[in-house]
Amino acid sequence: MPPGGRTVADRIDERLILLGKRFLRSFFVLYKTSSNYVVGHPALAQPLAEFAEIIREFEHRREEALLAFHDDNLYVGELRLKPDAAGFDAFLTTLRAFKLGRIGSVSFTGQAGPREIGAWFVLLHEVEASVQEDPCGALLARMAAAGLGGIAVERPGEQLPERAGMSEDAKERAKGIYAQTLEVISDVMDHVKLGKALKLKRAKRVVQSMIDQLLEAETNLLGLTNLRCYDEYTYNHSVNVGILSIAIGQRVGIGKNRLVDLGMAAVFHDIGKSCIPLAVLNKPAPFDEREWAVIRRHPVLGVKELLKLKGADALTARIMQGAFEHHLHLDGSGYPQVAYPRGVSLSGRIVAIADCYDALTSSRVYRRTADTPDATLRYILQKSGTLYDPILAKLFVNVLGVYPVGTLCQLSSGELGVVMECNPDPEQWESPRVKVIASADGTAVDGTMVDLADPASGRRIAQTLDARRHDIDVARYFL
Amino acid sequence: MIDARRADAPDKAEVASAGLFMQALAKADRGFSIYLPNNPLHDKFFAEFCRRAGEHLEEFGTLRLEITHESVLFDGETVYTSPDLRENFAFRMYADGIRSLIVERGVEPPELRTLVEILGRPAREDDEDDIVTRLWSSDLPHLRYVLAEVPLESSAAALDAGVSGSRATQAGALRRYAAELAAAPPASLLPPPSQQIFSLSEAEIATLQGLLTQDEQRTPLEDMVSILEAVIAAEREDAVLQEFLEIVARLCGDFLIAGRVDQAVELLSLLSRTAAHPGLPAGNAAKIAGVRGRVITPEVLAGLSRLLATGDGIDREALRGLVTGLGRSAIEPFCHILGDAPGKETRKVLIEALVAAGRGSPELFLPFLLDPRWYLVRNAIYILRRIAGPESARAALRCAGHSDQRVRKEVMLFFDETGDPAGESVMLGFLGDDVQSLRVAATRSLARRGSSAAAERLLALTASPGFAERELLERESVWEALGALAPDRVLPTFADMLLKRRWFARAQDLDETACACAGLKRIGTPAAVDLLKKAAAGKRGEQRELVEKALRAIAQTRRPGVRAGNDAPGGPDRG
Repeated sequence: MPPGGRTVADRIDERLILLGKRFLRSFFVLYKTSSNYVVGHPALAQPLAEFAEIIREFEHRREEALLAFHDDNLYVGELRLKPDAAGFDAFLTTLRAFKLGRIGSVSFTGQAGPREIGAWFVLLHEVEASVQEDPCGALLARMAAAGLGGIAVERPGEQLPERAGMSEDAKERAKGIYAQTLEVISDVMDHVKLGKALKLKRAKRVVQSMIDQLLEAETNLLGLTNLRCYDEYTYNHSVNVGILSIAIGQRVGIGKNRLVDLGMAAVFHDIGKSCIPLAVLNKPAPFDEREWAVIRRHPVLGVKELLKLKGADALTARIMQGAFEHHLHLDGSGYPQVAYPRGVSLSGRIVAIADCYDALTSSRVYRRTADTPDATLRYILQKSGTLYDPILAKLFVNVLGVYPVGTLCQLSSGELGVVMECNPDPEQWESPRVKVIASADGTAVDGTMVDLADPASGRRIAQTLDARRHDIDVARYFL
Repeated sequence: MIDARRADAPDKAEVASAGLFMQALAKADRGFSIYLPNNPLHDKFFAEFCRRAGEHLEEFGTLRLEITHESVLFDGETVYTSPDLRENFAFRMYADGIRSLIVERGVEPPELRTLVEILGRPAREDDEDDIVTRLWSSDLPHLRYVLAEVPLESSAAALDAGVSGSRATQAGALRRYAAELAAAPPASLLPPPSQQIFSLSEAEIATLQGLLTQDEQRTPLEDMVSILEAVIAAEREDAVLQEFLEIVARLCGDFLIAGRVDQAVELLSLLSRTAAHPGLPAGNAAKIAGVRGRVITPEVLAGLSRLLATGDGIDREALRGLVTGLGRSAIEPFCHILGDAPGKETRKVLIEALVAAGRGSPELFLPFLLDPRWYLVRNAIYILRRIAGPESARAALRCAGHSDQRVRKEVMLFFDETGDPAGESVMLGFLGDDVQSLRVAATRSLARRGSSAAAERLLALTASPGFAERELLERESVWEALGALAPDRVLPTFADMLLKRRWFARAQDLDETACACAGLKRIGTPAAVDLLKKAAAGKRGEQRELVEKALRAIAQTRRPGVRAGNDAPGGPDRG
């Protein structure tokens, strides 16, 4: 890590990112204010002046003041704006405005003064308010009629051409990363079992890839978390906890390099289990009290093995947090039962939620019945504030949606489907993207993806189902 | 951005330009490794590299370089190679899996600087980062790399392992579930979930940011220490506890060898805190405290010696903390380090820390009193002097006859300062020492003690034939001591010395006056004052000045709060 934890790109982009965030915030404020006040109203003067000032700053930096929407993401220029907790309102409102107006991008130059900008927002509201088949076309026509200079609007798909068609590649890449991570964890666990010194270079690399992938196309890797462990010989659980933790970490706003620490802590949170005999871990019956006592040793054993085989460095310390704290609860319950005045770290809190979710939704040898994703999510929310951090639990719902990826459901049409992607707009969380897997009569189909948010789909979720009830495996739809 | 020129075959000029780019990169790399940052050549080569990069990108657009195990290629032509693979950064990139390096328009000097620094730094065996992870962490927006595909033998199997059942089984399961649902359709559609509970309030956002900031401020070491403290304090299984204690001892040693003394001190503090933890299982406190004795292995000692021998750059507070943290177990190793004659400042800190660590255990310094290195013996005696106590005195006594006068002087200072009863005989012994300064110091010390035995010895000395041959300083000290120890007996002698006229012996007269004044100043009684006044009337020049000075000194000492007598002994001259 570079000195001070800041990268060259941080230094170069920091101001642009800040400017981009201000741009988005200012767009949001104007969008909201202009829906309540007519042009010329004093309430609009300040937001308009600020918006125009931001455009001047873009020009001063020789950057384009362009706000684009693609693949449920917002971009300022070529920079993807990562949604974080603090700016989530602005992010969602702007995202909705683009969707509603079917706008791909809008750019402003210094030619556009407060009058033009104000007029443009009015036109946008007018178009959105009227039912239009082609709202973007209508907007363009009204802009031309009004002679608004310095503002350019493009339709979706007309920008970021290099991104088109990347989703299949991204899916394959995601699978590769998932498989690599499995291998790396397996290697590391073997090293621990043999008492050999730990080298985590490869692991760090795959975690970096995981972060890149999650930043670029989160859905693919999140979908793969439906690949569950059925025993302790495979390490899907560790990979899943890694993916889920990084996804939460992104929502929290953790910087890229700290996400690596979090990812490593998550991926190796169960490292102590390598010290527990497989005969216990894979016992095909519920554990007795003595066996539970052995299982509960794994956080402490994890710390011991890490220090013994890796030594003390910054990375070890971060991994230790995940290994030690993932069963410590917010209210002091959980295990190991220790006095821990420092309190569970942010990483520990995140990993605890991800671990709980993946563990409860998996059926392991010792735990035959898996819970449904939505029931598990409800459990986590119910226990938030006592066992789990309430704010992080909320953000976890932000990651997975109220119908988490992998949820088996019956649609209002009677078809069976699997939730493949949650809707990024919380107001439309009940309308995720679903893959139809069976017709209403139960015939398996390689169905299409249905965006339930699209009124044209004509469907909604009627009920969520327990996939395990009839041994339906949802994981296959993500491969 | 799509570069239209890239569609065309690169021309010779482009290849040549790529070659110049690589040459400049290689020079910048060498410049960084040879010259210090403040050397103009360091920046000169780098500036040239930036210029070349800018020119190439401006003229030809994106630069894509292919990496082989020994060369960098552009459009199939070698634009960089080096026969020595250790110096060859194409090899370094190749070994880490990089197959292409892409530089894009808009690249900024800080990005290029980072690139040179990363490529130029050879990987160490214990490095957790390679070129790829470092490039990734540096997040260079205009520099990209393509990695070799990693063959994953078990990837398909690994992913398939996450899928259960065959396609046919799945189809059957879907049919069964659909039939079950048809028999019992849902009473109504699910109500839309409440949105409100999932959006964060301003207060929650602030809390989250606080948590994030707090987390960023936590240092890895603090995290590690807090976890270890929690584990060690709660551990009930002896074997596991012992393993953890061994780990802490080893980590502590590793930190010391690496020069991370402050971090070792953190771990030692952790042990002290944990040993004092209420509710520890019986016997654990002693086990935890005992770890401190296992930290300094011969290897660690050698490492520490090397570290301390390199100069006084070490953080003194940390060093002090280390010795304090190690407690009694620090005495032996750090006395050995003192024997290696570290720098003056380090020595001072070590001695102070050893004084603190050695309180209650002076016997631990005994072996070092027999050491052949005089300075180590002297330092050990000084430490004992600071510790004081009868045991220390017995130890110091053994060195009274040491062959080195600097050690004997330290012994003398020991007894002078501690006032130990055994000191009188030691001081009397020093009156016969070969070294004048020791004799003088012993004389003064005995005077301060009010030793009657010393009075007899000194009187006898003044009557001895060789006394007059001794230097004035010593004679003065003897008379001064006698002034303190036997004033009535020497007053007549002083009168004789002051009032007796010696014709043609001016130098002797001056000496006698000086000696008598020294003694009379010490006596300070009215009789002494009368004698001085009487002498002053009959003397001139230097002699008169001496007498008047003595009178002024007596007048001064008679003021309240002013103590008569000699200065206290000085601090040790540690050398």
